[in-house]
Amino acid sequence: MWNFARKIGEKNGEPEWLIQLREEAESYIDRAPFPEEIKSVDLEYYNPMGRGDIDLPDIKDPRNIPPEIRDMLTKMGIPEREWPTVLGMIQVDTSSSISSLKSYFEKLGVILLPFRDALKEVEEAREYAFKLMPYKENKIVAYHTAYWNGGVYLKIGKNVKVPQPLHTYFLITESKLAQADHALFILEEGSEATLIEGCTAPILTRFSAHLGATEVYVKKNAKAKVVVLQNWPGYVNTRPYTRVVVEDGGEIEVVVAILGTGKTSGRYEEIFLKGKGSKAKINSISFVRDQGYLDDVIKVYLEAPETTGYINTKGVVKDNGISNSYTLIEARKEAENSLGHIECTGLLLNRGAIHSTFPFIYSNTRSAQLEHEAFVGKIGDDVIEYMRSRGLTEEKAVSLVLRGYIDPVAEMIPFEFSAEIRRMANILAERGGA
Amino acid sequence: MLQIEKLTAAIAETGEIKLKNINLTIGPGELHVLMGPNGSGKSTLANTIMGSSQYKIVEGSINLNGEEINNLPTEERAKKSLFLSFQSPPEIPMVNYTKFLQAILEANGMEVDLNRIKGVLRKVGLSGEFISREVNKGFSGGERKRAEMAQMLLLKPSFAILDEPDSGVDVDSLKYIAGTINEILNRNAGVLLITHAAKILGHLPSNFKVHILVDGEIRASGGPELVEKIESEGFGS
Repeated sequence: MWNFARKIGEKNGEPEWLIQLREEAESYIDRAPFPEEIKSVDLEYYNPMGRGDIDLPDIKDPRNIPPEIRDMLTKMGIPEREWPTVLGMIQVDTSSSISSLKSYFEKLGVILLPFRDALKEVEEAREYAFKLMPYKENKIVAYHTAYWNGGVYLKIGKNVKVPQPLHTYFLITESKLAQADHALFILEEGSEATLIEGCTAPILTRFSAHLGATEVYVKKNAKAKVVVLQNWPGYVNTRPYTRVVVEDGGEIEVVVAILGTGKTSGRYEEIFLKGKGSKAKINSISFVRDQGYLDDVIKVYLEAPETTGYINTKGVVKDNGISNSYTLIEARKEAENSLGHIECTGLLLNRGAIHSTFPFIYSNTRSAQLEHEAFVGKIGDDVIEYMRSRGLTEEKAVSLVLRGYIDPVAEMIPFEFSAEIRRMANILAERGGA
Repeated sequence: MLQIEKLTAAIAETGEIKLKNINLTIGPGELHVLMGPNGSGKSTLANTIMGSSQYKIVEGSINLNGEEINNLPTEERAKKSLFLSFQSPPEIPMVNYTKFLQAILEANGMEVDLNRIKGVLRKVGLSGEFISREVNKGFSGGERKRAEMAQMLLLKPSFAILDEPDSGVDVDSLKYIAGTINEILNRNAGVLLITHAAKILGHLPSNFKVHILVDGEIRASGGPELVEKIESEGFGS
């Protein structure tokens, strides 16, 4: 029986309306269906209150902060004494700990608040929060709405062009400690920003399931680029859920890199192109190995004239990994003269690795042009033999093909992260597959 | 110097014997031409020398510059300066041709010099845009063979086996290919050239040796006159 919503809300000192929302959602956890594309998890197994034994990393010394993160913090003008706080190395009251971050962003025209505070203080946050994902829809959203904790509210002001990528990893320390963090991003008219979600650093929590959710509003002529990096440790089940709405002339570009799936991972991302001439471009690369399991669901709905949807997923699978790519582009009848293209490919590194692609295109209007292509294969023995005859070891040969496969995606994201992707490719190219 | 002694080899999977008691010695700077009907084992010999996992040596030995290489993995043979130009080199999708050339230079402990790569490609008549294409993808028959020759020039092998570098190529490609063979012969590399046609031989030094392979056995060896005989009489199997 689900009976945590009020406890969590009261513990957080939340207003009654919010507690009630939690309770309503909680009552739907059992009733709502699990999204059919992704592997279900037994939610009852997990205590949304957490186990209360979160291990903080023992890097309390700023000198132990990795150089690329030091660079980032320096560029952002965060005083060194606040770094451990910003990085979640020590736990303090969040609202005061991010004061210097806040003032940095305010100068840029960016409002940044812990999601919980935003719901209390910002009318607009209350207006938008949870609207893109009604809890009745499915079990994950119901669970998330009932038990969310932590997260971030980020608003890019009208015509503000943020010059450097915003690492949401830094934004709110408690996000990393939460089992179900909620992110609400609003890009106002004409604004431009790049958001980097997640991090390749070790996840700090001990929860065995993560059900975070992200809502993104891209308003008229705004341009958002979202880079999602996931590297989950082996004991975690993740079901992140993302919904995006794009208005007239707006553009969203998403680059997803899944370096580690944890035990099982089910990413669910839906983009609604509601405005005329709006665009969505999604590139995803995933690595699944050992006994890892991934469902990667990406759906783009073309709901207005002259919209463009582009999805390209790439999966590298090794050992006994299982990877499924579900993609959909659907043109509604309003989507006259729209374009949609899906490309799904998979590269298997050994026998036993499984990659399946399920590309779907639906059109309800004559003038939309939708197409898809899919390919899954192994590197041919003849190719390996040929490369070996030139002096390359099998490992080197595989690594070269793998690099050729992933580089087009790696080139789309900041260097410190693309380096991680390339490092992962080299690890997978090593011998010793099952 | 490549020395093959009493070599008998079979298809690894089935054990079917494809080469019987082959004896062949090719010294530095020597050009040997291997001819024979389709299916006689010419490519099998080439691939066995290179160490292809498709074939296994049943008996005999292959020596390169005095060292037996029977049990060396393919890449180690390559690093010992042995080169095989493939009859049908495979496509390597997604791998950029320049990056491939850089990787093979690196693997062989050679300097990665972009200007040298460009120079070598020019030498075989491959234009500049070539370097940004994927390996062998969309290459015409002639381009593939010339690209093989470019790799040979880059790696400067002491011994090269050329498996029908002249098949399916036009007159221009043939000249480029013959030019590179002459170049490595002048550098004192030994060459085993597998061919069906006498045409390419007209562009090469005339003091070559000829071996006729039929049913996995060398049936005859001799000078250029053997080629004329075959041209008029066939392999006479």
